[in-house]
Amino acid sequence: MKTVNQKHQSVDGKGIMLGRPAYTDDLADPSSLIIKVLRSPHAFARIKSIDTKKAEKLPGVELVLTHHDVPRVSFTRAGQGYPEPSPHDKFVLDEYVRYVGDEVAVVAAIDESVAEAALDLIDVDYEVIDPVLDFEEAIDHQSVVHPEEGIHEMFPIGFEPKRNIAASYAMDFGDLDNAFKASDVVVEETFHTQAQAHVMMEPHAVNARLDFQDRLLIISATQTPFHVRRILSQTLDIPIEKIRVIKPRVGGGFGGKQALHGEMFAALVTMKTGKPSKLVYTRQEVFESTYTRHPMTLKVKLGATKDGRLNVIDWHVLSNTGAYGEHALTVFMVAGSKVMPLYNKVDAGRFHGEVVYTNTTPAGAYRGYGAIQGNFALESAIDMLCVKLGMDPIAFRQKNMMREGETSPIFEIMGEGTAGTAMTMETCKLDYCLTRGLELIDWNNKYPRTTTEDGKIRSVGMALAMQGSGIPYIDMGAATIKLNDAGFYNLTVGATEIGQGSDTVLSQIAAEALGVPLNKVIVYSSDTDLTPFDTGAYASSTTYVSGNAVYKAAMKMREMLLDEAAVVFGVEGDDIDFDGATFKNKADGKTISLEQLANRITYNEDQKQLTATSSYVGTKSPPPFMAGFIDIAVDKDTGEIDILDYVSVVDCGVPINPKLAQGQVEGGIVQGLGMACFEEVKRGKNGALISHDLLNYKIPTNVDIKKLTTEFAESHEASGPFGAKSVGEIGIDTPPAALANALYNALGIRLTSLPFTAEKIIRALHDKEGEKTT
Amino acid sequence: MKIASLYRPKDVEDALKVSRESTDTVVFGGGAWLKLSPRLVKRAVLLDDMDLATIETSDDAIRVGAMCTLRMVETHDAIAAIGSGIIVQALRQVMGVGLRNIATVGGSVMGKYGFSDVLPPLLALDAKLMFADAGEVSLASFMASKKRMNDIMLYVTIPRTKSVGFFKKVSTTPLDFSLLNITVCKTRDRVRVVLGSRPGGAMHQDVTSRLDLNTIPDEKTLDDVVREVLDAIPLGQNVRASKLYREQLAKTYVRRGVKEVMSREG
Amino acid sequence: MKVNLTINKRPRTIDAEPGDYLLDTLRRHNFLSVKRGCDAASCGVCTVLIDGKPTLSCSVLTARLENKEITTVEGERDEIEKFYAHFGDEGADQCGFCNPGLALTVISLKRTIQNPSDDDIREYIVANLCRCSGYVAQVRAIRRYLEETS
Ligand SMILES: Cc1cc2nc3c(=O)[nH]c(=O)nc-3n(C[C@H](O)[C@H](O)[C@H](O)COP(=O)(O)OP(=O)(O)OC[C@H]3O[C@@H](n4cnc5c(N)ncnc54)[C@H](O)[C@@H]3O)c2cc1C
Ligand code: FES
Ligand code: FES
Repeated sequence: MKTVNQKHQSVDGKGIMLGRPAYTDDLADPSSLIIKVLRSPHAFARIKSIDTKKAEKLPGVELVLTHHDVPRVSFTRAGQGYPEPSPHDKFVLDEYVRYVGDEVAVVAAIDESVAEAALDLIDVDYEVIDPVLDFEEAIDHQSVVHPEEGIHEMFPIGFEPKRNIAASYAMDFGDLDNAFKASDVVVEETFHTQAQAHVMMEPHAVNARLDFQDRLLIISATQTPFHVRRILSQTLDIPIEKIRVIKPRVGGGFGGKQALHGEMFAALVTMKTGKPSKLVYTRQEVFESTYTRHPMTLKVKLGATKDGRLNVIDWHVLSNTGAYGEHALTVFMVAGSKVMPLYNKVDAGRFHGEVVYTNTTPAGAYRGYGAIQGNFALESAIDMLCVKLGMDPIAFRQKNMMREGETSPIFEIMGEGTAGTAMTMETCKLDYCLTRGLELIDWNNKYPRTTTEDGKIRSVGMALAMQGSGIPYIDMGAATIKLNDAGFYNLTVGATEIGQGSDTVLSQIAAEALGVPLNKVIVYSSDTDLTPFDTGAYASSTTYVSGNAVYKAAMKMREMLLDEAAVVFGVEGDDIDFDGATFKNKADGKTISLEQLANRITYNEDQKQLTATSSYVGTKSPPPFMAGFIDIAVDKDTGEIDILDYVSVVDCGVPINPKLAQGQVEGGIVQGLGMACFEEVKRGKNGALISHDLLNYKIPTNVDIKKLTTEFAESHEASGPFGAKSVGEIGIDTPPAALANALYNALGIRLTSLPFTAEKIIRALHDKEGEKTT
Repeated sequence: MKIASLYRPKDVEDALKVSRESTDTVVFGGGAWLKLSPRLVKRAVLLDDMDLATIETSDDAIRVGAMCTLRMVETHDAIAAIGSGIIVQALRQVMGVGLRNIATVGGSVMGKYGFSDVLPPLLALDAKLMFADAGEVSLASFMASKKRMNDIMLYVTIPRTKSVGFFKKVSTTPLDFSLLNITVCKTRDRVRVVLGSRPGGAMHQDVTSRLDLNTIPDEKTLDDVVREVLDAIPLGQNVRASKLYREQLAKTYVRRGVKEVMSREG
Repeated sequence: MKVNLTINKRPRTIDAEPGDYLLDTLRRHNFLSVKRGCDAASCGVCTVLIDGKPTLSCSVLTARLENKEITTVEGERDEIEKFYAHFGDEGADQCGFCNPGLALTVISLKRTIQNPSDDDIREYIVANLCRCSGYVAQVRAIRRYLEETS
C-alpha cells in the first residue's frame, strides 16, 4: 500500500502550528454580541422570582433571557442516534436549577465587561432545596432532582425520575447459581470510580449569525454538527432547513463536545436580536457546567474452578449521571458490554444496575465511556481471583480470554441502549498483544517486584482491554468525492475531525483507493450544508464507519472514471487498466492521463461534473484489543509513584496512519494514567466544585510521562477500510487496573477506589501493617 | 481582576505615598497572582521604573530587587552557588518558564503564600527584606508576624554564607502546589529545617543542638531530629493532603534531608 | 492609553485600556495563533515571546510592554516550519490548540539552553499542557529538531 499504513504528516498540523485561524473563536464574527450566563450558586433550588429590569437597563445590554422567555420543550443535549437513548429531561432554561453552575439566565451585551456587569444586576430569589449529593443515597431520596412535568424517555430505558433513576437495566445469561456452586473460588469486591474532567485545551465555543439568506449559521466546537442542527430545530422550533452548522477546527473533545452547550443560547440570542453572538466558556464553566465522566460503584463477583477456569461474572453497577441524564444508559451498559466479552468462556453472567440523578455537574460522554470503569473493576477482580487461586495472572488470562474466531453472548444481548448485534471475532490478536507486551516490559525479570538502587520498590502490573468500532445499525457516515480539473479530488465528509486526525486518515483512505498521492485529495469536514451526513465523532466510529464510506465513495469514483475513459477509447470499462494516474487501453496500449481526462470532461468534450457519494452503516462493531503493562517504582515511605514505562500492544487492525494511531493510543494512556493516579473532580459540602480551575484540577504533564512503548499487532480486519478497526478510545481503558495490579504486586495492597494518590497508598500500607501487628 | 488606572511612581517616597492612599490602590509585582483575584483595582501601582529589577552581588551577600522575575533569580550563577542551589531548585519547580518570566520576587514574598516554594529556601538561608518604610526586617520575623505590612518591599538580601542544602517539593504533578516542601540547610554553625505548605506559611526549626556538625548522624539521632521538628512545627490538613500524610512526608524527608546535608562537605 | 511596541518585528502603536492583558490585545489585532485555554496562568497555550522570553500573555498587562518586542508564531514562520517537519513526522500533533504556545517555548529553549537533556527539555516545556498527545512524541520531535538545527 502506498498511502495507507504509511508514515504521513497530518494534512493540517503545520498550518495550525503556524497559527492560521481555524478554531471557532478565530472565525467568530468580531462584531458578535458577547453572551454570558448567570449560573446557580446552589446545588438545588427553585427560582421563586427573577428580576432582570436593572440588567436590561444597563447601557450595552441587548437581551436578557430567563426561563420565562424560552420555549418549554424538553430535550437532551446528548448528540447520539435519534431517537436518543438519553431521557429528554432538560429545558433551555428552567425554574429549577439542579447543580452549582446550572443555567439561570442569559445576557447578551456589546462586550464582555458589560455582559459581566449585567449578570451582577439580575436579582434572583431562590427557594433552596436539600440537594442530593451522594449518589449512593440518590434512589428514593426525599428530594427529587426532576420533579417537573414534561420530561420523558424516548423509548423504554427504565426512566423513573420520581425515584431519581434516570435509567436502569438488567441482563443475565446461563445459570448463575449453578455457576457459582460449581466454582471452587469466589471473589467479591466493590470498586469506586471517580468523576474525571475532560480538560480539552480549547474551551467550548459557539458563534451564531444570520446569513444573507436569513438563515441561522452556527459555528461550533462540536463533535456532532448534524445532531446540533436537529436538536436546535426540534427544541427552538426553527425549520431545520433554516439552520447551518459549521464545525471548524476543534481543540479536543474526548466526548466533552458530544453534546450541545452554548448552541441553544447563541441561537436564541441571534434569532431574537438579529445580531451575531458568541459564547466562549471560561475554564471554570468548562469544569463546572459541562460534563464529567460518570462516577460509578461497581460490585463484582467472580467464580472459578481450581484449575483456573472462569465460570461466572456477576455485577451490579450504580452510576451517577448528575443533574441531567445525557448518555446515562449507554455509558452504563458499556461498562458491561465492552468488558465482559474479554472473558467469553464463562457459563453464566449478569449485569444490572441503575443510573441515578444527583445535584452535581452532569456526567456525559468521555473517551472510553463505561469501558474504563468496567475494565478497572473486572481486571482488578481477575488479579484478585488469581491470588486466591494461587495462579499466575497471565496464565489465567491466556486460558480464559477471547480468541480469534470466537464470540461472546454479550454482543447479541447488549448494545448501546438497546439489544446488541451478534458477531464473531474475525480479528483478535489479544494473545499476541499479551505475549509481546510481556517481552517489552520484561515481565519475567520484574514480576512481581524488585528493589531499585535508591531503595524504591519496582513492580509491574497489567490489564487487557477491548473497545468497539462504532455502533452497528446506528452510526452512519457518508462521504462525497468530487473530481476537479487537472485531476485532483475534493473529499467532503460529515465525520468530525476534533484533533484525532480523522481528516488525515480519511484522506489517506481516499488517496489509497483512488491511487493518487495524499496531496491530490483535499479534505473538508464538516458543514451541514456542504458535507454529507455523519453521526459524529464518538464511539470510536470514524475510521471504521466513516472510513468505509470514504472507501466506497472512492471505488464508485473509480468506476465513473473508467466509464469516462471508456468513452474516450471507445471500449468497455473492463478493457482499461487504471493505476490512479493513467488510463491504458489494454488492446492498443494507448493512454490518457487522469489530468487530461479531467480537463477534457471539464472543458472540452462530454463535459460534466463527477461526484461520488457513498455511505456506510456498520453491521457489526469489530473490537480493537490491547494489552497494557505498567512499570512503576514506588517509594514505600511516601507512596509517591514514578511511572517508568507504559507498554501498549494494540490490535486495531491495520493502522491507516501508524504515527497518528500511536498518538491516539498514547494520548489515551496518559488520560487513563491521570485518572488512575490523581485526577478527580472535587466538591465542597455545598456541592460547589473545588476543582474548578487548573490550579485545583491537575492533569499529567510532560515531566510525569517519561516513557511510553507502543506497538501494533499485525492484524487485518476484512470488514474495515484497508483492514482497519478503531483506535480512538482503546488506549484509555487499561491504566487504572494495570496500576492497581502493579501496586498489589509491589506492596500487597489492593486499592479499589480511584484515584490512587500517594496518600491513599500510604494509608493502605499503614492499614495493612496495622492488621499485621494487631 | 478589573483595573481602572495605572500609576508609575518615580521614586520610593512617591510609591509609598500613593500605595497608602486607599485600599483600592494595589502595588503590582508581575501581577500574575493578582490577576486571579476578582477584585476591582482603582489604581495599580507599577514599580517598573524604579530600578528594582537588578541583582547585585557583593562579597558577603546578594541583593535581589523586588521586581526581579523568578526566572532572573534562578538563572543567576551566584545564586545557584548558594546552599547547593536550593533557591534555584525550588524556583524551577514553580510552574513553567512562562510564569516565572512574569512572577516577581516582591510578589512572591509579599503574598506570603502558604503554598510558597520560594520562601522556604530564603528562610533557610536567613534572608533579609528591605522595605521602603520599615527598613530592614529579617524574613524570619516577617514570616512569624501576623500583621499585614502596608509597605513596599525593595529588595531581599541573601547572605553568601558557605552552606549545603536540600530541597524537596512533594506535589501531585510538577504544576501543582506543594503538599509539603522540605528544606534543610547546614552552615558552619547551624542546621536549619524549614517546612512549607504545611499548608500554612513556612516555619523553621534549628536542630543544631542535636547534631555533631562533623559526623554523619545515626538513626537514633535522626529520630530525635525528626521528633524535634514535628514537635516544633505544626502540620495541618487541606484539600491536598491530610495532617497525617503531611507528618509522614515530613518524617521521611526531614530524615533524608538532614542525612544528605550532614554527609556533604559545606 | 498608547503603547509603543514591536509585534513580530513591526513597530506598532497600540491603544490599550489600563486593564488589558496582552492575550486580548493580540487577538484583537488578529494574532489569532495566541490561544486562551484558562486565562489563569495555568495551561501555557497563550505563550508568546517577550524580548525572546516565553511569557504567558494572559497574565501580562499590555500597558507594561512599552518598547518590548513581542513574537508570536506568525513572526517565526521559518523556524516553525523547521520544527514542524519533525513534529509532524513524529505524529506529535493532534488538535493543535497547544501547538503555537509549545512551538514558541521550544524556539526559546533552543536559543537559551545548549545541548539540553531530555529532562531539561521536559522541564522547560512542563507548563505547556497538552491533553491530546501523550507527550513522548513531542519530546522526540523536539530532540530531533534541536539536533538538526544546532
Ligand atoms: C497559576 C500560578 C501557579 C503558581 N504556583 C506556584 C507554586 O507552585 N509555588 C510557588 O511558590 N508559587 C506559585 N505561584 C506564585 C508565584 O510564584 C508568585 O509568587 C506569584 O505569582 C506572585 O508574584 P507576582 O509577581 O505575580 O505578584 P503580584 O500578583 O503582582 O502580587 C502579589 C502580591 O504581592 C504584592 N506585592 C508585589 N510586589 C510588591 C512589592 N514590591 N512591595 C509590596 N507588595 C508587593 C501585591 O500587592 C500583591 O498583594 C503560582 C502563581 C500562579 C499565578
Ligand atoms: S491562557 Fe492558560 S496560561 Fe494563559
Ligand atoms: S494537541 Fe490537543 S492539546 Fe495538545
